[in-house]
Amino acid sequence: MHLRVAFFLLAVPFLLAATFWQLDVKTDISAFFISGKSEQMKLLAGQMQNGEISKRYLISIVQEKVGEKPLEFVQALQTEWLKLEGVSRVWGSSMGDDEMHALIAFYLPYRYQLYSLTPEKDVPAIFSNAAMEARAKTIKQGLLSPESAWVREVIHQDPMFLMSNTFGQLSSGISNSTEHSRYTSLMVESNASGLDTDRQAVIKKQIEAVFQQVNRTYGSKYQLEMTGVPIFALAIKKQVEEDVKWISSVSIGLMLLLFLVIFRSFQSLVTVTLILLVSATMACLLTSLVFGQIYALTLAIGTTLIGVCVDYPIHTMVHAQASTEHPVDAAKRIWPSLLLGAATTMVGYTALSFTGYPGMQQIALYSGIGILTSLLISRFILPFSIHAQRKTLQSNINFDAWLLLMQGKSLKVPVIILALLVLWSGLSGVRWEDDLSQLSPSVNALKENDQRIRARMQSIEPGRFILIHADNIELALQQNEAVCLRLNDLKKAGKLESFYSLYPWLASQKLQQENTRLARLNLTDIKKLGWSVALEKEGLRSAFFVKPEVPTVPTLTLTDVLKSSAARYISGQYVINDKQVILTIWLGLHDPAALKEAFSGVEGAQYVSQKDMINEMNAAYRRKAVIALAYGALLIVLLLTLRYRSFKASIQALFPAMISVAFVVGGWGLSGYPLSMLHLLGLLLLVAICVDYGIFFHENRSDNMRLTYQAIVISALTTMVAFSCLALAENPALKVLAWTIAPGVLLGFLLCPLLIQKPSKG
Amino acid sequence: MQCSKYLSYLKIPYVIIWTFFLGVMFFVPNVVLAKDTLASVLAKASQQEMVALEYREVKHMIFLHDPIEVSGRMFVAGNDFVLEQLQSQRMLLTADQHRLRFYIPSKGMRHSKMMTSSMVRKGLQFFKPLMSGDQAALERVFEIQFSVQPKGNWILILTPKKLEEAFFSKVFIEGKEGKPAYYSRLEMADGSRSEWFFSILPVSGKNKQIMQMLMQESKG
Repeated sequence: MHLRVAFFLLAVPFLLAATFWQLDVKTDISAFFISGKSEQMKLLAGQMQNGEISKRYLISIVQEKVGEKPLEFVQALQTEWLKLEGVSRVWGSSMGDDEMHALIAFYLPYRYQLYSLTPEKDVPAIFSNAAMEARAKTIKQGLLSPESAWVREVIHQDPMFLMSNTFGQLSSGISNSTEHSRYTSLMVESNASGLDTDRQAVIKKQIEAVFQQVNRTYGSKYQLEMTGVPIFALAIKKQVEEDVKWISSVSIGLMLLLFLVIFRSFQSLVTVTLILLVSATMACLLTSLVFGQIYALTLAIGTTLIGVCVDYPIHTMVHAQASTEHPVDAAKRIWPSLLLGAATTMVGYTALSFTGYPGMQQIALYSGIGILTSLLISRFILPFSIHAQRKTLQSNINFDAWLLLMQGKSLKVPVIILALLVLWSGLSGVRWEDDLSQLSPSVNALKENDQRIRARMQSIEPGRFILIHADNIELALQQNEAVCLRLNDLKKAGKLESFYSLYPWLASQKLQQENTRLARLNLTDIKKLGWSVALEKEGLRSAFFVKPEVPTVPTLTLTDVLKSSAARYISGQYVINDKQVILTIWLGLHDPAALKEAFSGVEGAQYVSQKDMINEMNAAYRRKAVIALAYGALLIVLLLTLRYRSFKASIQALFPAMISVAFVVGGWGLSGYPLSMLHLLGLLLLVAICVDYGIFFHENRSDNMRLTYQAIVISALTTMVAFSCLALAENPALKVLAWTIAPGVLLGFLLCPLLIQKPSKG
Repeated sequence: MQCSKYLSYLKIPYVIIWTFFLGVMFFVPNVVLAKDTLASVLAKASQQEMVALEYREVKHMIFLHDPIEVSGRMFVAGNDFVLEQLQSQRMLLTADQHRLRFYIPSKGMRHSKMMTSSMVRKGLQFFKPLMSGDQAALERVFEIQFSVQPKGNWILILTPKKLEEAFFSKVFIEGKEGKPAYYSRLEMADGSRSEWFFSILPVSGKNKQIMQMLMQESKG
């Protein structure tokens, strides 16, 4: 064994160990797509990764028929679920007694401060004769109701029963589901990010196990239905895992067959696999060292580089085994072609890194390192290991049949015309899809389940909210109140079902002071007398009521609320740092267009749709990517022109790639399938691979066209096998890669003899 | 005006506790004789199978000029309890081992609470000893005055030891020797009081049937 090979083989375990030790894989997909430069974007990214809503399981307990809610069963479940390690909170759709009384007790002194968003209109109205009479009537009803003890207790402190107004506003933000139903809704909040599938898998399993256990003790009468971000994340993970298992099995089987048939050597397969493994490992290690961490998506997309990286060892092996030269000399001979091919590929990926996509910079580096590693091993190590394996290459298969068939035929123009026709026909059907969810596996059943469960509960629309930002909490609260007024108008207009803001749990100092000032101003002696008259009119003994007064209490602050039982109702709705305060208002069912319009141009507040926002970002990335790739293509042309000192030659080398892309893009357009960033990635990879074929074919460094084409065919076959297998996946992202690269590569190597007319030597 | 919503949240009627208590107390007067002691009364009370009665309640609330009068019927059997208020508004209040239920048919208002909920537990801690005939436990929560008057009337006066935790400050129950109670008075700390006038109904299959029917109606 050559020293270089021995050293290489010895180094592999160390490289693997170092990578394993260094590797910090970030599984969060949002970080890959979102650059956290602004506070809003950080919040957006944060909400996607760790937002409270993303941590929640929305649970529906289903009973056989409509009837009383299974309170005992639900309570037993809540108790047991709360004991689980990964569960931080469990709550139902209605408020518990203790919670309700604690809230009333806490907010009673602040009934005037928090009374209204429009105090100038509402506070004087409290003291109109008609309003006081109506209030007296309500108090009487309350005293005669089964709850008279409570009413008595409240009116000792709040004789005008204004708390009913405050409590009504507070409770409107808390779901109060009907007593009789088939469904009982519960929320389980986990203490892990919704996208942390490893932890969520354990939590979900425990939730289900506890349900089964408790259900058994109640005669297995109930069913459990769940939805939420963790459920989707787990389902997608499961699908991807199944895809990976299935595809990798088929792919490995086919590759093995291919290598055994062509090279008649298992060792050849091991050799190529080892080179790809080392290339990927080196790319992982260095990318991780440069960025501090590596996105899982970088690894996933990076592995598609197999299609490019496999070219260099296969070309080296084919030339080394089939020629009469020493393998090292054969490798030396083809080295300029491989180097040029690698350089053009790296230019393409480098161009992509200028799109602004945070993940693309990693992919560019990862690809560059992977390609360079594969190239260098193919040149400086692989030839030294081939000697003993010479003559294993299958000689009976006519890889050059197509080459011979096309020889001497001038089909360049018809092919170009055909490609342009396909492109022209397809271009009108090309449309861009910037919605990332299209890249998700088909989870339609889960989506239907999600809608069904959400319809049973007063639910927040995930991913859409109002974002308020200001320099300090007071200004933010004032802005929040202005937004609430707009939202109330939208509610009246039927454009919004519900919303959940910091008000009425907390109001700005300004609003609290204004409410109090107007209450004091309007609660005159005459009005107090009027109140007594209103009570007497209802048959109530005014002498036994305490005189209405506006209590002197300090204004309510966020700190006060956070110390109270109300804290849980506003958690996750505020971010306070040194620079600014950000508040969010969660929205129930609504008309997105109406809300978008209502808040366009409003300073300090914006309607945010995470999906729209990400889609807009993707559209911007995609536009940049198209421009960057165009520059990249120009750079490749320039590089080839410099290399060949001929523009015509450079275009000729690029022809197979260009025509192939034209067919593929035209084909996608004709299919009506929308194109996305992933298609661009696939096309880039396709160009990288086909440009290599063009260069190898054009340069024909071995002076043996048959051999050169044989190497291209074998390389193309391995790439097609690898990418065709992806078409078996359920994941649309993998299918897109398959249907872009596999047919493109097929066209790429078929077009070489048609488009690059070279005298056939050898 | 958000009052109705406010009230709909405060759905644990304190009156449930009073009436629950009264229902339990009706085991007592059935068996009281001059020779009886509280211990023997409690022992016999817990052995009663069922009680059915009609009631009239007069509420004297300090906040109201005029007293309010309501009436209806009540059934107690084992752990089950049914109060059907017929005048002035029909209302059902039922309880079994697991739940308290409250139903106003005219408003379609229905609510239930578990017997283990904090509010119900708080109320029942005073009456469980009565229901179980546990005199020692009863004496832990009440100051008890039980007497049989020379005229033959018997009087039971219960005063909660922890007034701040109780919903009332004093309970009077009065009956004639060997006869069920005909009168009860519940006094509140703020001066309000509630007077109850009872007449026992015969325990019959029909009443048992009515009780079951009302119980079912409250469940919906």
